[in-house]
Amino acid sequence: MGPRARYLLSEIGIGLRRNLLMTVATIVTVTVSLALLGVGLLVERQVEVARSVFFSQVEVAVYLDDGISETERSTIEQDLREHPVVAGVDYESKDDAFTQFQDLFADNPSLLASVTPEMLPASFRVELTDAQEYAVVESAFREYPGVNEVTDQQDVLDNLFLLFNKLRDGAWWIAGFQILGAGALIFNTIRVTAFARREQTAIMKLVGATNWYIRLPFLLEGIIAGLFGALLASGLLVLAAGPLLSSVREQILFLPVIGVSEVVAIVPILVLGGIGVAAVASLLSLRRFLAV
Amino acid sequence: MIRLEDVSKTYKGSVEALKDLTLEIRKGEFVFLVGASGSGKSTFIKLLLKDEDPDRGDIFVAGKRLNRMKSWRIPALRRELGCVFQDFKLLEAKTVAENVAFALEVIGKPRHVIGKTVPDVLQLVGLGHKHDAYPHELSGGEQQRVSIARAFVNRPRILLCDEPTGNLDPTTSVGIMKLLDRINKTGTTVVMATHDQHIVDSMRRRVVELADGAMVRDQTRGVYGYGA
Repeated sequence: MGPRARYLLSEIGIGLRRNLLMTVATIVTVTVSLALLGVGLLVERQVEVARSVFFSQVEVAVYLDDGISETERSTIEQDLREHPVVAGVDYESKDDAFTQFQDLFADNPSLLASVTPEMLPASFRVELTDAQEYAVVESAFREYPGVNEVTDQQDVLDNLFLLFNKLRDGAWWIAGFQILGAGALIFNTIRVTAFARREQTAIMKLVGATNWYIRLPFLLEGIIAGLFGALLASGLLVLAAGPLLSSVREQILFLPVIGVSEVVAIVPILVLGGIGVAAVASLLSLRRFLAV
Repeated sequence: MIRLEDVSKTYKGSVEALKDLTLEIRKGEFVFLVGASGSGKSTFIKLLLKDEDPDRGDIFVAGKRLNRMKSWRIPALRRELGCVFQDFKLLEAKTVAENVAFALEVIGKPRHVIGKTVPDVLQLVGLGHKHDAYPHELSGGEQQRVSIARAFVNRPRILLCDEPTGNLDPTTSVGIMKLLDRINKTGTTVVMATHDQHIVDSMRRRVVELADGAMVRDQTRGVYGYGA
């Protein structure tokens, strides 16, 4: 190890220890903020996964009464096909619905065991030329004999996802404030450290050390705190994800749930976020308090 | 080595610190800068270090023009200059050898160079036996020797001294002056701002006197005051 690396390591060590309490506060704040950022990202990912599964299936469902007659059914089908905003119609029998259901919940045997084809309604799956035209179809077919209910799947999903979106927004708002707090802590830590080392800094300038040589230990100190926070946040999320996600899977049976691999996938984002916040706060503070 | 052409400097909301100063100092010269407090001596040294910028005029130091020098070039300028101050500016947490080595470490000198140069320069300033002492264990004169060792360890072309004997008793001061004289004899240009009449009179070197920011005397083999 050359003198440069030794100097850097010892300076960073001294700095982190001198401000132990501040360093701990900084790391905790970064951890909380990034964990919340991660929660928000995961909720969003969850919504995407659920959306893609459901939306690939249907846009409007016309559910049929169990006792519908053959004529009623073919009238509905014909009228649907002739309707100007309808792009395509598929009939889904009770058996088809059951097959779908089996595919969707293949990994949930207890749920499958409790459902029989008889329990599921037959329906027409209707694709629209424009998803916004749902209301037209709904009012046209609601009163047909044999029609139980016309539902806009998008509407159903949006209601479901509204909760998720609120959760995500909440997490991001708190994360945002926490990140500001983390930045302020780093900013202040560097101010204190710069003051404590002012004599040493003055001598370094005098003997011709370069600006970056003087600034690097400060910058790395902040970045190490940011990195630590990011790794802690990632660890927390990955550890918590397993039990949490499986409990969600048990609670909300019909929902396809993201896995731990999705949690691992956001770790790089958190690490970059932690380093980024720390670097920006450090550079701002250095410009202010370590002008060279 | 050092040239100033019509240099003026006014601090904000204050009187002129330097007025149209034109001065040339050649390689290997030993120059005393004398004058009352506030006559501009410290400003002169700060300008040479590019710690301050002049309002008007050109400054050349060690072959470099300081006006509009890019800030990233300042470290290279300062590596050509050694600085000694009245208050020594030693780091209390470091030993004598570490204080001197620090000046080389922070400009990226390799370890084997540092390991060889530091003992040599401590020998030169007469502190070969005090390597591992801490500044608070040393006398004022010894501390100033450490600070001179630190200023000289990178073999600068110019040594700038701002009242180096200001905190020392007369006997100790003589020792420090002998050391500066020895460094000057190695070919290093020495510029020393001082109040110390006795020292200036006994050394008989070039004297530049400032009064209210203007040069009022430039005398080879001079003394501190007129008629002395």
